[in-house]
Amino acid sequence: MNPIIRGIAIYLFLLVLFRVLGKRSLAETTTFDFVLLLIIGEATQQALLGDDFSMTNSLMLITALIGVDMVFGTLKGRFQKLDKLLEGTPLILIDHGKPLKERMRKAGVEEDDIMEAARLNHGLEQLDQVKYAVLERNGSISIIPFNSSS
Amino acid sequence: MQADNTVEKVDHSLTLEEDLKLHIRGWKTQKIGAVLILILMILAALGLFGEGLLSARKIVKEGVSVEYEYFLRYQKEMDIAFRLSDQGDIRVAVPLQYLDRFKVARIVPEPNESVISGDYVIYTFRAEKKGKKLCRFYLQAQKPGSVKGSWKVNQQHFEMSHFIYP
Repeated sequence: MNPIIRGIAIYLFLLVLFRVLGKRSLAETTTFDFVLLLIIGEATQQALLGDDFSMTNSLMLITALIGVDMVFGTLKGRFQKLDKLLEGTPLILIDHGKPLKERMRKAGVEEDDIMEAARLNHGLEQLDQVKYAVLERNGSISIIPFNSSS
Repeated sequence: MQADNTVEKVDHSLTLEEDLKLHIRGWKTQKIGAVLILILMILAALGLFGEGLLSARKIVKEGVSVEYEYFLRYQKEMDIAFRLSDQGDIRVAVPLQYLDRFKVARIVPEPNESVISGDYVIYTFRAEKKGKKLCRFYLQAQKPGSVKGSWKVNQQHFEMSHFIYP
């Protein structure tokens, strides 16, 4: 198969797969997740290169992968709906110290995850010190403490 | 919809665009996706992509049996095994369309002769005595798609078909 088509097929497959897994999947990476990523990389490499280890093949593949990413980047910039669809939108998880349980459950976020972000970024001790906790598009949790605006 | 009712609505002062409908749709899609991944895993384990119950085929005809895989993968080697009972010399005729789709990696045992005749390549295996015989053709898929053909073993036809994944 043509390396460009192979590259595009693998890119789209991984895009759909990681979108289906949800954005918390990569934000909460454990050591085992890194091992899993290495295995995925190794398996993908075989499918991408096939039995052609020439420099031309790898250059074509790199060009294809960067190219598709570039096209998607441009399209996301131009069409807001596509941007939202592929990258998602932020999600509020804590509202004035009150955990929004249903949202947290559906997004796969625990109170512990939020408190970890609150401790790490703001040195907060209690959940009621959090005005808002937001699950960002990149999968990280941002914390807005009560004292930051008042 | 139930999901719309259970997810908390928030009236916030933050400058952020929270599209709750999109989130709800996304969660539903994720559930469907997770189920599809599980189904795919089960089907793959059963042989939908080769090497399993769904892929294994066996044809038995008057003392000759042929075992092969229906689902194959591009550039993956597979074997077609012929088991014969109480036969002397063996002549296996391979349709030419197979050679267009597959590379013959090796044949065990090595044939004594190979001749092109019409739409077939005929491999002949000489045997000293009659008895049980086994020969294997190791083939490597070179093109994706489906392939169908009639192999002949000592003039008996064996209809075989495969699907080669890219």
